[in-house]
Order: sequence, then C-alpha cells, then structure tokens
Amino acid sequence: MTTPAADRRTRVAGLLPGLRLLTVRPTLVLGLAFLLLPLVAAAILRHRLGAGAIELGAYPFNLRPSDAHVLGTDGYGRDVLAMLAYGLWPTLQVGLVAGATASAIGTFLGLLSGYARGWVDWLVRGLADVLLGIPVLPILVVVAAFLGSVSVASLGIVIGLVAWPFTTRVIRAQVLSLRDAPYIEIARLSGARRSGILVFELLPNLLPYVMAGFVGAVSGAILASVGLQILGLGSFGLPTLGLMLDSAYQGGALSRGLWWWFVPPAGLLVLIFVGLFLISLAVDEFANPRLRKRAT
Amino acid sequence: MTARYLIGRLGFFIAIVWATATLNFAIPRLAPGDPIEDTVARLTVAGQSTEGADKLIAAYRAELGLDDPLVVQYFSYLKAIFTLDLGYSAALFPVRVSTLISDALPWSIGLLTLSTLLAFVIGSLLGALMVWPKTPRVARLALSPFMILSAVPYYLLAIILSFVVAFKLNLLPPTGGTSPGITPAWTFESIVDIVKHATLPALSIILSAIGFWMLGMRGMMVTTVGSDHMLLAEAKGLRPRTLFWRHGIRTAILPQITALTLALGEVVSGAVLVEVIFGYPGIGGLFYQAIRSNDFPLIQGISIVLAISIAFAILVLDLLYPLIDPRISYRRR
Repeated sequence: MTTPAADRRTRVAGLLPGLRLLTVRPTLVLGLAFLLLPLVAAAILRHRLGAGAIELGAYPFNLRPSDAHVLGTDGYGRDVLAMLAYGLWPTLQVGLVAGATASAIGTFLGLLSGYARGWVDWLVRGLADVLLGIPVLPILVVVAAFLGSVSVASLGIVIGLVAWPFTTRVIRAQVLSLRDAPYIEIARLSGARRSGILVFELLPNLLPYVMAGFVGAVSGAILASVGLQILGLGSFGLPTLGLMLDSAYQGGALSRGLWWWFVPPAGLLVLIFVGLFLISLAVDEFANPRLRKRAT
Repeated sequence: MTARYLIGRLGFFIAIVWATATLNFAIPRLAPGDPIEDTVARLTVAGQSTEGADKLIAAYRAELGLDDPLVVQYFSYLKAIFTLDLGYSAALFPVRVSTLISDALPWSIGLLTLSTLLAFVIGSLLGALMVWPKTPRVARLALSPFMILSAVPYYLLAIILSFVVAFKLNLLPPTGGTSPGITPAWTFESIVDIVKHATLPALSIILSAIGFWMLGMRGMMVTTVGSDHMLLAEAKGLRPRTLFWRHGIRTAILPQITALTLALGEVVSGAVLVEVIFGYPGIGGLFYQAIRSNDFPLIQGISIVLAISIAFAILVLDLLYPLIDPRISYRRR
C-alpha cells in the first residue's frame, strides 16, 4: 500500500511532462516569444508614451512615420505606436477570457458526457452538434449589434459560450478511450466516488488536450472579436487592434496609401496568430505523439 | 444508407435552423424596448432618413403582431421563416429583405464554393504529400510556409493582398464585383471582368485555407501511413501510386470531410469579412451595409439565410459520407 505522500507525488509527477514541454520544443518557445515579447514591449511603451498619445486629435493627422512618431499618426491624430501599445492587451484579454470560458465549460461537459454515457451523453452531444452548426459570426453580429458597447469580459464570455462545443468533442473522445483503462477500473472497484475519479484520475491525463483546446479557443476568440471589430461592432471604449483596422478602412487608408495606419496593427495581429499557431502545434505534438518528428 | 441515418441528419438540419431562428428571435427582444421603434430610433440618431418611418412601424406591427403575446409572435415568426418571408429592410424600406439577399447570394455562392473547393482539394493533396515518404525533402520544405499562412485569418490576408496587389501594384481591381458601367452578363468581356474582380477575394480565402486543410490531412495521413493495412498493401507489392491514392488518400480523406463540415461555418464567416474588405457585392458586403445602417431586419435575415445554407451544405456532405465510406454500408448488412 502506498502512503498518502507517495500517492500525491505520483499524481504531481503526471503533471511534470507539461513542464518539460517548455524546454524541449522550439516551436513552443518561438510561439510564446511571439506573444510575450510584444506584451512586454507594449507595457514599456505605455509607460514611456502615456495615455495622452491615444486621445483624439492629440497630434496632427496622418503624419508619416518620423523620429517624433515612429509609426506616424492616424486619421484621428493619435500616435499609431501608442495605439498598438494600448490596444494589444485588450485584444488578447478577450481571447483569454473566451478561451477560459470555453475550456471550462467544454472540459466539464466533455468529462461528464464521456464518462456518464446514456442520456446525459446524448443530450450534451446533441447540444454541442447543434451549436457547432450555427454560424458563429452572424450570431455574434446580432448580439453585438443589439448590445452596443460591451466590456472585454462580457464579449469574452459570450464568445466562450458559443465556442465550447469544439473542446467538448475533443475531451469527450479522449474520455471515451480512457474510461475503460485498468486504472480507472481499479479506482471504481476500490469505491472511489465518481467525481473523485473524474478529477483525480481522468483530468490529469486529459491536460494535454485541455491545453490544446484552450489555445485553439483563444485563437478562435481573438479571430472572432477582431472580425467583429473590423465590422465596426464589439467596441470596448478602448482602442483595440481590430478597431484600428476598422477606422483605417473607414478613413480610406488603403486608397490614400496611409500604410502606417493599418500595416502595423495587421502585422501585430499576424504575429499574434502565428504565435498562437506555433503554440498549438507544440501542444498538439505533445498530445498526439504520432505527430512528433520521427528520427529520420 | 438507412432511413434512420437519413432521418437523424434531417433532424439535425431542422434543429440547427430552428435554434438559429430562435436566437434571432430572442436576442432583439431581450433588449428592453420595442424592436422596431428601437430600430427607427437608432436610424434617426444616426441621421438617416426615416421618411417611411410611420409606414414602416405600421407594417411591422401588422406583420409581427407586436401587440400579441410573445408566444403568438414566436410562432408567426417561425411560420414566416418557414415561408422565407424575411420582412422589410429597415434602411431601404420598402425593399424586402429577401430581394436584397437573393440579389447578393449568387456572387457569394460562386466565390465561396470555388475557393473552398479549390483550397480543400489542393490543400488535402499537398498535406498528404507532405507525409508521404516518397516526397522529396525540398518539396516538403517549400510547402511548409503554407501551413504557417493558415494561422493568418482570411481578412488579414485580404487587407495585405488588397494593399499590395491592388493599390501598390495596380494589377487587379481593389473593390467591387464588376467595373462601373459593366452589367453582369454572359459576354466574354463581362465574364473576364467578373473574374478579375473575384481573383483577390478568392486568393485571400484560398491561400489561408490551403494551409488549414494541409495540416488536417497531414495529421490524418500520419495515422494512415503508419497503419497495418498500409503495411499489408505495401507488402503485397502494389505500386506506390496505387498505395498513395487508393489506400492512403481514400482512408484519410474521410475525417477530412468531417472536418470540412465542422469548418464550414468558420469558412463562411471568414468569407463574409473578405467580401467586406473588397466591397464585393455578395452576402458579406450586404451584411456590412446592414450593420453600418443599423438595418436589423436585414441583419437577422442574413443570419437565418447563412444558417440555412451552412446547415444544408453540412446535410449534403453528411449524406454523401456513407457513399464514400464503404464501411458504413457494410455494417448495415
């Protein structure tokens, strides 16, 4: 019989592969760098430039990039670099909130549905499949159009509420394949409570998939929120990268050749998406060993 | 394919359309106030003409029965959807929503079907090639950038392409479905013009989508190539080409098609934004106009139409699936 201490140690050891992931995979490091470096840079820039730089009419309109304004000013007289610095975090925040919401709901329902089977499974699956069939953008547009200005948190939660089916599917599939494993059987026979089995036996083994689902959800949420903002909806009253693109488009930046107005936010967004993509590649390799590079 | 499968799929189709319609019904009514008066109020605040406002309100009251209890409203709404009667456009009164949508739909269907099909076919092929051991390393390296490109959403690619190709290099027209003065017709000149205008939007979708399908197919092929039945086929001495096509791709394509059904909603949403950026006169462009002019009936009408189209496409794919996968029909015996 193992002592409670050794037992705990074994459980924690199951989490360690996740930490090892950081040191082994270059794609993960690169992806994280793409995300974290801009964040750090943005924080420094916010400190240096101050909130006055993003007020309407703070500077002359449409200045080309120069020494005074490294990325020029936009059609409303705001410093573009400052807009980037202030707009980055809200853009990411929506993704994080939505990702957390979708992952939480998705994992919970996936665990429940995969383990319980029966009518619970049927209900959750049906709900998830129907939600998957409903086109997300039009629904979000309808919601955003009627709600008007929203907060970062509420937009994130709304997006999370439509995004959970993907996570549920993945988690459920994994639970289905794991639930007949011997160690689960033993746990069941030794009288462990069902919730105990779910949390302590299944969940640690699902962590790679939960992580993969989270990254996917964050990426999709940022995609959706930026898409909404380009359409002119989903504004927080704060500058975001999507809104910069929208105002650039409205202000005719494309036809007037004011490239510094929209290329920087577009470029930063590309960086974010590629970063998230690299992270999800790394996590996917971790979850699905067959995708790992074989020694050739 | 059994009747049970067919009924199940049809059931899903109906469930999805019903759910979208209900959401479209519920959301405006959750906001306090009368939806139509609200619309007119917003239009007025936005400074748009509300000449027909009284008539608009009266027409809507009559059609929607806004004075009836909620349940009655709901069922008459469902009935209207069923008959595809989507009401009047608020901003362009008295044009009906269905007229606007049916004008815009052919543009979108053309663009979307072509782009998605091309991207799916080319992407899946390239993805399979990336895993196939006989592909030269050079080709594999050359194809990798496409997968990175898949991370970039369509609309970002659209902006970049629009700026670089249309504005800077002046190679292709930046906006619109046709040049001003040319009406769409079956003449050579008209068709060339339409194709020129559709190229950039199509490219924005294709370049990003190819990477997406490549990734998916790559994953499927990895599993397939390592499987036992491939080993047996190889041991039988079949030619590499037979192995690749009949055993590799045919097996791996099945989950890809499932992935296609799941991704359709996202593809259509992405295409909407691409149309907005290029001012393409499809559903996307119409949607944008509707949002800009606070034309809520049009927004809702488009949502319903989009939901129905996507659900229908998924239905078609689901019905095709058993035809491609012999395992399903064998099991039925």
